Amino acid sequence: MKFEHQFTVPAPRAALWAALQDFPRVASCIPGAEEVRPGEHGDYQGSLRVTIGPMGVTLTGSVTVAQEEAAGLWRMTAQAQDRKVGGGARAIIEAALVEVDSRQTALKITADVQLMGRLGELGQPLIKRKADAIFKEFGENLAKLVSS
Amino acid sequence: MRDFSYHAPASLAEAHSLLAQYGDAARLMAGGTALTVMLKQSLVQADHLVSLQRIPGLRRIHLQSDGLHIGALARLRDVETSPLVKEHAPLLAEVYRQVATVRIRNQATVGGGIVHADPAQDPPPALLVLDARLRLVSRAGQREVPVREFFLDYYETALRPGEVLTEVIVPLQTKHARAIYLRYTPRTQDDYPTVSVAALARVERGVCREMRVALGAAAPTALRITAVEEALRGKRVSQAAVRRAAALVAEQVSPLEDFRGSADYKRDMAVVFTRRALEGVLGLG
Repeated sequence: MKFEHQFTVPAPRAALWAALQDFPRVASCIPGAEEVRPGEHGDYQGSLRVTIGPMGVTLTGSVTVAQEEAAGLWRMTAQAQDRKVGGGARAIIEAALVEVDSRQTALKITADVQLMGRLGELGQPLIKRKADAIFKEFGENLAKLVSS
Repeated sequence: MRDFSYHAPASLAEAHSLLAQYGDAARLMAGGTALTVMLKQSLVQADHLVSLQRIPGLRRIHLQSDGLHIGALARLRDVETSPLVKEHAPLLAEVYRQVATVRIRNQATVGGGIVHADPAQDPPPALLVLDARLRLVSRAGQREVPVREFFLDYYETALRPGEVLTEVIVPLQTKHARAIYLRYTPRTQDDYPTVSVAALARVERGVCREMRVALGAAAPTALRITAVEEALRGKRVSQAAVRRAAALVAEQVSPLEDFRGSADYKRDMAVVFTRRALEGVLGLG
């Protein structure tokens, strides 16, 4: 399941790049992200609570972050599980920083998400729709964070 | 599935107290046909289930001056077989007859189905064209919300924490109006529809005087298609007018792809079944 999302942040490219270095702070912009903290192997641990009406899943797992500063590229590899529901997700998320002008930077996000177990049965289109909403809110929150 | 406490209050006031006491940890339960599945899959977690079964009066179907009042705990089968519903809102009796299987209709409730807010359910399009209203009662008081304003998104509604849906109020179907409900189920008859259409129309001397159309399974919620209604209201009834109006549906719906079909296929079927429903309700069939 592939996603593309793009939004513009009111910050110069270098400033946005610097802000992205504090991963737990950036993760606080993701709606539903909880307790994101550095892990033991250079990764980050945390959980993501996703709700659809009365239904909810809490994906707990890890994220590995790799960066290519010259290309302005972030690559995140995430894997997480919800043991109660019996399912999990793997995701490769790439974010490219593209300068719009001296004050604004576009963040182009592409994601490839695989759902496993019962989570997959919920229906990928419904999950995709929810993920789109999460990316949108993340963009709005990140814009607020860097402009504050 | 994790353990929970089961509460069976004998009054609405008691149910409200339990909801206030346990907050997010409590879930209301009516027939339980949808909730039990979600609990078993741990998609919904609740420490306290508050059943509405023992509260008197919630299963009643009766007639008042403002319409037919259907208690939220009425079983789908009650609506299907009620002489009052058959006389005053025959579309509803016909629609509830087509939901799932008789075993489910004997257990599932009218109110439980509505608050579940699955956009592929059968009753919402019919309730929309009948301009039904919902009575929502909380500790602080009560309010009536048109069904049209109740569904917000997939499985999300305007019901606030602490509110209980107690009844559905259905304005009486006028004798001169014709109504129809079509559900497209290419897999099995008891499946959720791939797309569904409810339409209600009144024709006088070849002119469409009233037209209401609603679709199910074609968007995040069931929805009235006002573009189609406006295209036909006040116009002379003809095949050409129906075709033009039905084509407008394509831009109004936003179906999700699933195992019942791609989004494009469902959009096409929405147009086809809207046309058939319009032909039926306008007497062109």
